[in-house]
Amino acid sequence: MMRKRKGYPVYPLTAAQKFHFFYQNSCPKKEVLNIGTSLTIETELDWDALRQAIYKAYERCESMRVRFAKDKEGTWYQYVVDKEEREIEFVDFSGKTMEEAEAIMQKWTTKPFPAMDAPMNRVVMIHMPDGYNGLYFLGDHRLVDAQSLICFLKDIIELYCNAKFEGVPYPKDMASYIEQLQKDLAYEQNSKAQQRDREYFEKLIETSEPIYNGLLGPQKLEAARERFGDPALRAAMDVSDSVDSALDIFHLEAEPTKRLMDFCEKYHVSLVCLLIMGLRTYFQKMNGNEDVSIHTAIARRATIKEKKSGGTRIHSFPFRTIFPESMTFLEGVYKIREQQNEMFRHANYNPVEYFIHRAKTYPHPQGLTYEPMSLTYQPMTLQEKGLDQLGEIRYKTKWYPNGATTQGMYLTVMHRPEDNGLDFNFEHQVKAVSRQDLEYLYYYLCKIMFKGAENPDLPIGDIIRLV
Amino acid sequence: MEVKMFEKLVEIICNYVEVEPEQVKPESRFMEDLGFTSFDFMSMLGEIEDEFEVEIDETQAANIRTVQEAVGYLEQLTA
Repeated sequence: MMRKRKGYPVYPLTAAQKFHFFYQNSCPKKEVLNIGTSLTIETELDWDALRQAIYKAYERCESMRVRFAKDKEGTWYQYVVDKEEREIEFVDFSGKTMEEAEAIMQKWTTKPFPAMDAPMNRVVMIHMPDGYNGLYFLGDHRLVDAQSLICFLKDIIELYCNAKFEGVPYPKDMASYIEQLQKDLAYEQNSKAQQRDREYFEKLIETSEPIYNGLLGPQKLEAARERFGDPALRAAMDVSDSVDSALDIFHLEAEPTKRLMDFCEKYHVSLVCLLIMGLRTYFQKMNGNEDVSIHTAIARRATIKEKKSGGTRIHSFPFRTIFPESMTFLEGVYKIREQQNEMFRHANYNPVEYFIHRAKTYPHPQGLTYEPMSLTYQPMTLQEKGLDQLGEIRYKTKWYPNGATTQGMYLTVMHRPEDNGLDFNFEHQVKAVSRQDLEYLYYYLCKIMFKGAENPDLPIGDIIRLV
Repeated sequence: MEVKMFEKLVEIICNYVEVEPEQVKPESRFMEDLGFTSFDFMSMLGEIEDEFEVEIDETQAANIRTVQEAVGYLEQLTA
């Protein structure tokens, strides 16, 4: 058992980190956990001041200084080094087209990090062909998620603004990653809270077996039933034999987005409830099942300490709804809110334990699943958390896909701060789901959500027939 | 509205969202004014349960919009 590495105390991995390790182990492309993004603004930057702000941000954020190490038995650990001593790179894309510059950053995003004793992120200062200036950030999902990434970039911006502009306050301290890690690890030592959460999920799993719903209908389930000679089989093969992925983005404009947000405000529900309702109704329409499950991600950052401690905290669980066609759209949305609120209170439970218990409860051939997709809703944007200090200066953010995914389809819905619209980012296995399939899904998803938001008392069955 | 309970609740709220205590008013709405997400809110319920030694019904709690409504609900539970 490892106790120290290079003089630093080591810590075991959390459940959220082990979940990512599990995915990486099953994927031939080790860059599957890379998250790449760029943030550029339409103004000149003082590169030396920016470089100092980046070093200061590293100093303030323990999780950005974490390294991994493995002992002789093959168990992984993590430790936090005192200081980042690497050079912060500067890349000038002048003379290239925007497409060429973005292609280079896309390439950076597909390069896996070294497995041990190395930084698990990279920050590059960039000058873009369109005159915008800013940062490219690459991180490993075992140590960064969307919220901690935004939090880190926000800290760099605030530190830079404090150094450059009069009257901009110094940002408040970040929270300790180690402290939060120890809290999570204590929970995982068979704490009372863990026992309570385990009891909740095991009971939920044992209610009854879910059923797979395909993106385009029941063909995949029928194929699995035929292949395994089991007409009662309820799970299907959702992924392809290639992890090569693409990212397709659909933009919902500001006005229709506002209509959805107004519905949420009026009925006091979050947008994610409406999205789940839209998606599950789509699958009900396509498959004729009132029983629909999809994966949903929970960010698990409630307290300020959790929000500012960095690292990765996402837990993902299947979210199952059984809604008869006679149920109204609004009743469905409220039921989702109720189920989700209940799940939130048990979200610290280890998702790997969840899947092990479910596989034991409902044994079926390996590689089959009940969930055709995953959903993440990202409410946080950089505008509300930092860039507002830059006044009216225009800026751009871009996410770069790493080119690999172990899931058939992963939808991330994000607010677009430039115009208050929504972006629907579909990352999908190229061989499992086509762009055309996604256009179809997106079209009907929107139709369902708007029909429901405009007619909340309409039964689900009517909505399915009308759209 | 019980002042002590309000003050205690404000203290808890400030552990979840970046607001100063004086910015939290009885009429403040958790989501729209204070910036709570539903996950923040549900997580806070756990802390409130421990602090006030009450058991909160999630369905009823989901309908709470303002700090004043939360205080009223807690007053009922602790009465």
